[in-house]
Amino acid sequence: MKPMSAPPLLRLRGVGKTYTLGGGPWARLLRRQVALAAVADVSLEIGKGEVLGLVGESGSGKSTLGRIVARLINASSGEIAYQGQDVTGLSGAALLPYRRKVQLVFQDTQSSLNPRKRVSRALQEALAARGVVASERAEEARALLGMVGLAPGVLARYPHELSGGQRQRVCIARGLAMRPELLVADEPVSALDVSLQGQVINLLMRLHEDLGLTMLFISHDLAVVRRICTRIAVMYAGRIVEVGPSDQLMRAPAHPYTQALIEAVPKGLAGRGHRHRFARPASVAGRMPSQGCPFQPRCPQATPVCAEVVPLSVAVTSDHYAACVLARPASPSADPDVIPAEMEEILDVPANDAAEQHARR
Amino acid sequence: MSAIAAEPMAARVSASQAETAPVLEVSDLRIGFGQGPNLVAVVRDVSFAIMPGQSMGLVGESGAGKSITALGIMRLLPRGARQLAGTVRLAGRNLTAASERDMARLRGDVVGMIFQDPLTSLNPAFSVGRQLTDAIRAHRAVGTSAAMGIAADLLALVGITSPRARLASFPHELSGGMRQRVAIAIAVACEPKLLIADEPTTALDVTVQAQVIELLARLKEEINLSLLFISHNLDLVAEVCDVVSVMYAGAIVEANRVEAIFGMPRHPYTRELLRCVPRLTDGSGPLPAIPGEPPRMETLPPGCAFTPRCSQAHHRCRLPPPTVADADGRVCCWLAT
Amino acid sequence: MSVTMGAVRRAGRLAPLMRRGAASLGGPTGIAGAVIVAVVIILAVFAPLVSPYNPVTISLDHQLTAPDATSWFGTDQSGRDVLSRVIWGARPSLEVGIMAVLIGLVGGVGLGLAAGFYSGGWFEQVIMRCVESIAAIPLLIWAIAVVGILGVEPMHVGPFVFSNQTKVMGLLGLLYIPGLARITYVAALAESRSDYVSARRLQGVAEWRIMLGDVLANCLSPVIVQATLLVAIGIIIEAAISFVGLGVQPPQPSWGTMLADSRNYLFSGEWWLSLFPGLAISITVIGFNLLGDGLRDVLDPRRNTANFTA
Repeated sequence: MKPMSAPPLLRLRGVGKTYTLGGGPWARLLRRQVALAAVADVSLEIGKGEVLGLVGESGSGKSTLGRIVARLINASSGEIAYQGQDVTGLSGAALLPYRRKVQLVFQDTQSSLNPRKRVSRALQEALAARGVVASERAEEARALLGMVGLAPGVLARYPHELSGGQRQRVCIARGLAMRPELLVADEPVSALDVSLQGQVINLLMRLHEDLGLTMLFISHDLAVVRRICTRIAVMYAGRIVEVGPSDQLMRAPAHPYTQALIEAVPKGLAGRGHRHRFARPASVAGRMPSQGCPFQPRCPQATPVCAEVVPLSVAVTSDHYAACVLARPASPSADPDVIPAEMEEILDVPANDAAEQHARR
Repeated sequence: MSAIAAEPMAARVSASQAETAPVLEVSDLRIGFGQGPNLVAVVRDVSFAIMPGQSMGLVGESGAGKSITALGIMRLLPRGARQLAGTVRLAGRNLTAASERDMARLRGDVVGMIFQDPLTSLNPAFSVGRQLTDAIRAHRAVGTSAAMGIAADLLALVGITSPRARLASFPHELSGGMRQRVAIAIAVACEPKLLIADEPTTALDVTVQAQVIELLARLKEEINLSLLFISHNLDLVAEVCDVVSVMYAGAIVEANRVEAIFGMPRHPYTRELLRCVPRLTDGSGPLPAIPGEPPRMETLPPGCAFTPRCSQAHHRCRLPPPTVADADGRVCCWLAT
Repeated sequence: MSVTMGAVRRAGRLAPLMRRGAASLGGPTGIAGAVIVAVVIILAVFAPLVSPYNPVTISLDHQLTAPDATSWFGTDQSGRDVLSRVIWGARPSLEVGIMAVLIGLVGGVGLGLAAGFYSGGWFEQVIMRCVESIAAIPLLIWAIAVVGILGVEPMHVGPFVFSNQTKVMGLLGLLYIPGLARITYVAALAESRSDYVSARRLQGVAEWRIMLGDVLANCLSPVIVQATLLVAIGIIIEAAISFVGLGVQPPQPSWGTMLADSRNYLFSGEWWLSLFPGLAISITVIGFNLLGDGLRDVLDPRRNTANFTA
């Protein structure tokens, strides 16, 4: 795990996004609106060349955060700094340089391509937006397709004539047309069959290596995130509850929600009959407690203090933080390779290995 | 008072041991879309059997034909699709020959079904209690208040807290996991012998999924429920099911006990598919994928449908592979001969 | 992506506006409609060449003659050839029908698109409320108001002369705006939330460019269908207005005035005076309706078929 000595490429400080849900055009006057914090007080850094995974379930705010990073949505509070420069308040023409540096790939391949435009037109428009002269656009479009492993014949097709995996690769190509430095991938493979996910995942990893792309990889699939990300941040109810190096986070999660998340991932044969105990069911639709730790209603380890105060980030190690009152700094002498007792049963490494060896035969 | 909790467990177990006939028996089921030259078979000669108290997983990727198979069993095929051949026997009764009225009597009573998205499978305009009592009174001659009592018991059975109060809730007031529990309660309201679950947790968060799966396992124990569990999530199926059938391009390529499928997969597709599943305990490095794309059902290659993507394909694969069966399971592949 | 439903869906894929082929007219219905419409338009455009006689030439020797070899549709009370008048009468009908729809499209689609794309503020509310208030007043009241204010004589505004027909066109166009605006608004509202719009924003493209270049094309399917049906309605309304004397003035032929003139001869045996203009209206309206139905089968959002994973 590379220490982050260089200044971060992207830095978020106290970023929040609150939506006011109205009841029609008069609601604001009649004060009937409800404020919903999709993202609250997020502070995060992404180093150059890093692949940061952002994990969370529905309603965690991860997609919203991704769009805030790409400046598709304006944050309600906090600051975003790119290469040291504040980009939070920029708009219009001033935002264009940032647009060239940061691009986003969407989850839904059906709606992320204009159904009435052929692939060639979609790519050439993107190139035009970057300022490529008309005579060179066709050539570059072909090169972009080659970069994502698609044949030039795809240029003439419409999005509905392509498969999900091909569409996703076209979207990646379109994002690359702007020559970004930071690519935000919002659930890029969630809509794909598992036998095809590898194609897109491997493509992203190759682009990361070949182009030096920094990536923010948003997903709910912990196993995929763990494979390609060096660092993982876990979100719950709009807040970052834990962030740290992938290996460490998986082996010894310090936040009860992370533990619950790891436990909940189906383990195959090894998971048969396992009683899940790290999270209680959510009781009501989307209602988060107004005070205290958002995970507290479901947390089996909750203490009375948890309902009153939003926990601060505690440094478990120098690069591993958890926002929980129960988190404690790891003792310096602890062996980083040892798996804590409560995680052993959940991770259950030996049984999985045997099944995999059989499968590979 | 619910009929479910009244009977002692032992009595129910011995009663089910007397039934060694399968709860569900599907033989050479063939379902297709379109007419004449445009006829496309999307389910091709599918056969399997589920014994009482057993849970079977039907796995495959999108387009493999899993959902259509389930709908075909229930005779709920969408417009344009129809059963071309084969028989379906539910608790000994031939469903293929049954009239629509007989089917309506069986659905909800002998076989229940839950779907992927609980928000759209529950009626947003009616309360939970109303939907439950509708399901109960469709098959049982009970009055409204008695039905409400049974409904409250059902909600408790599926692990919803304050069941009496929840009867008045509407679907949009509940979280996704709770909605799916309500859907399960409706499906098992009349103690069916079989529950068909079509991707029941795909739309749910993974922490919620874990709890719904536990509920299904508990129901299997408590009311001796057989389960047809359709999913594309292999690890999930491995946790939940006793036997597994793997579908590809509308046909079952391999079927066996779950330990055999995951420990010793014999069909190349099963093997490749298992390799593609990312696991928490993996290291880093490229994620395996199966090259190519799932085939279009209109243009299937002659012989084995997996041939274009199979790393072990050879000339014999141009002919339809035989089904090789042994004690526990079967494989549909030339390599097994 | 569901492979098994692909076969069903592929047949009904929405065709981009550029591609026109027999298949894109939605089968026999659409083709029949297109043929009828094409014939009517050709007859109207080439009326001077196709029409056997001059439609306004009075010939007192040949009044009220039944259809025969020289005059296929017979002659009217002034000796004018009915066939020629039917052919020439297509012009005002089509002009009013098509022009009114064009006015409605420009106004309605423009307003609806802007309201839907820039939704979430006073702009959207103002536009949609104004549009709806147009629709709040029934057609007849509008017609009376227009006739009352503007009169039935040709109107002179500076260098321009607005004939009665133009007033009808304008009024009809105005009344088409709310319906077309609403259709476009709903579609624009949905399409503006799509990720491809966000993707264009990520490229730094100006908002109005995205609205016109990306969203507009995806809103037009339901609009086109409605537009063809509105042409049919316009033809009927033009005929009705001419029938009551507010539209085209004699001796110019129009199907509505021909029907009005034939009122006196309905029961006296000169059946050809009312049958042929009536048939002309009916067939043309049916043609546009069939065309609209055919287009609807093709252009309606088939891509929003229930996503049926197998």
